[in-house]
Amino acid sequence: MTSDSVDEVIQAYLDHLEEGAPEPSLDHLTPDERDLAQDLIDSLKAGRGIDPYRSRPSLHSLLAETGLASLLEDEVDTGLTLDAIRADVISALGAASVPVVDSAAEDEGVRSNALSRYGSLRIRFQYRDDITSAAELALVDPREAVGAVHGRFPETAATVLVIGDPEFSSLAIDQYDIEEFIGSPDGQLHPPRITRPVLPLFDTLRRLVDELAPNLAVDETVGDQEPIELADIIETTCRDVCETIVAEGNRSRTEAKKVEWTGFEGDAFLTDMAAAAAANGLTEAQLRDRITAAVAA
Amino acid sequence: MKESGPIAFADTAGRDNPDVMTNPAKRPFPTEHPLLQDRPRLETISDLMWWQIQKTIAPGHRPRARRSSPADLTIAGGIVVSDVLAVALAGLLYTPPTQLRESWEALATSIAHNKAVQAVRDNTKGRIRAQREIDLASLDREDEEGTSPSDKLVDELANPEAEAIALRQQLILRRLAEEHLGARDRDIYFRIHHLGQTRVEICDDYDISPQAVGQIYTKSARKLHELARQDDEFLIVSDPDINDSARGGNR
Repeated sequence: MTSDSVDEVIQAYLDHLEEGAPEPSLDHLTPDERDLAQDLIDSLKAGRGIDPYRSRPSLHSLLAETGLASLLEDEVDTGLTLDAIRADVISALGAASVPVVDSAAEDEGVRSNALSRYGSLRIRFQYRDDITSAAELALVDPREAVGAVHGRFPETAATVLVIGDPEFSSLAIDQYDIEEFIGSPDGQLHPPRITRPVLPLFDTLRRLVDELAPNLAVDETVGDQEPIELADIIETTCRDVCETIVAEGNRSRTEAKKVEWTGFEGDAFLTDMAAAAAANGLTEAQLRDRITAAVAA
Repeated sequence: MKESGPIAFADTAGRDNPDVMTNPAKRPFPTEHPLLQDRPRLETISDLMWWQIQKTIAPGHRPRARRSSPADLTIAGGIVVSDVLAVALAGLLYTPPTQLRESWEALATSIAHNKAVQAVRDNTKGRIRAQREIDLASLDREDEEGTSPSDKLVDELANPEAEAIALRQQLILRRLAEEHLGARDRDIYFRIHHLGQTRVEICDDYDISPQAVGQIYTKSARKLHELARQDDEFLIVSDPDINDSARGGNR
């Protein structure tokens, strides 16, 4: 079996799906190749429209209002692992934010089990298998929980505490949550407190990045911007600079300055030099040469 | 097919509305339901329903994975997939075993599809697809082809058993992908295979050519195909005869 012919058929089928190209024929394939290609195409059709990164709600939450949740046998909690939280983290933060084992924290003996990056943000995860309910999670002392993490790794944007319930209930704590704060309106110093709600892991992460790194991009603004004429800007700016120098000369009480500055006529020289610099055609050596020549003249 | 803008959540599910009961109070759930005693099977069936609802609600539509929106899987008329799943699961557990004519998996897939169709129709009544994510939706019922989104949905699955098998195979392929593919290959496979993203859309994320993305997808798909052929669960799922005997007659 030549692998290339099946590969070509699959590539052609992707062209068909993406660009509306004709559906590829399987007639030229051998029976074995045809079976393989048909299996792969059928699988591609069957898998479409599904989000593999999005985890399904737990049976307990789905059946919460039916009264059947209590009849379900309790899930066996085997402890949180990287595999357990990976899907929710990727779903919330993107494929570039795959969580990894926080080996740096392990080496330091600091309680942080996993680490994920979102842009320039470093988000650490702390598995809290010792906490059994979301209500209990909301009562943790933030300084006691993650003070050491943020103290040892100050670049950490936030630490997310996760418990092993079906929803992966979680709580985000940033570096300011572990400090005392001045209350309003009493003006008194208060101990650190939890500032965010306990939410499923996906929602905690989405809320956290929306807060720390809001996406301010606005679509389709490129076409709305007015075009600019760089040459006009350079000419106007250089003229303004020359006029400023002449005006300064007129106001000067130093005779030499009054003579030299009032007669300054570097408009063309500056414009030419700025235009060359704007076109990336001016090296430092050339700049030095030009200035030397202008001084000599 | 384009996604429509958010539309007011109507009456797809009572889960978010304590005043609307999902099921009549006088009709109790059969507490001795066999699926409640077989937790692993109920979990698998719930996965099948979860995926089937996504497929039905958005045929050919690309799920919103890894976008900046924090919204839940809200597709086609403001329908929340998890709410539809809650209704469908309740419907499944209302079915007494004596009325079962096929496997629980097939029935679950069929119920999930029907509930999803109902949710789409309830939520898109009198509307056409909006052109953008945030857009004014016309109240004209027909689009340029004279149909509305819900008209294009298939009333019932032609072969729920086959559909359930295909979905279970996809679940196994996802597991195999997570076990055997590297992070980049797995992401490319998922994004093409499930999310329907194009090779051009993906290539910039990994700084490779669209051709390379396609080659990685093909290589991954073939590797998973080979692995599936050696996977006991996949073989059992794919062969209805083995499937039946493995269940010991408990359909």
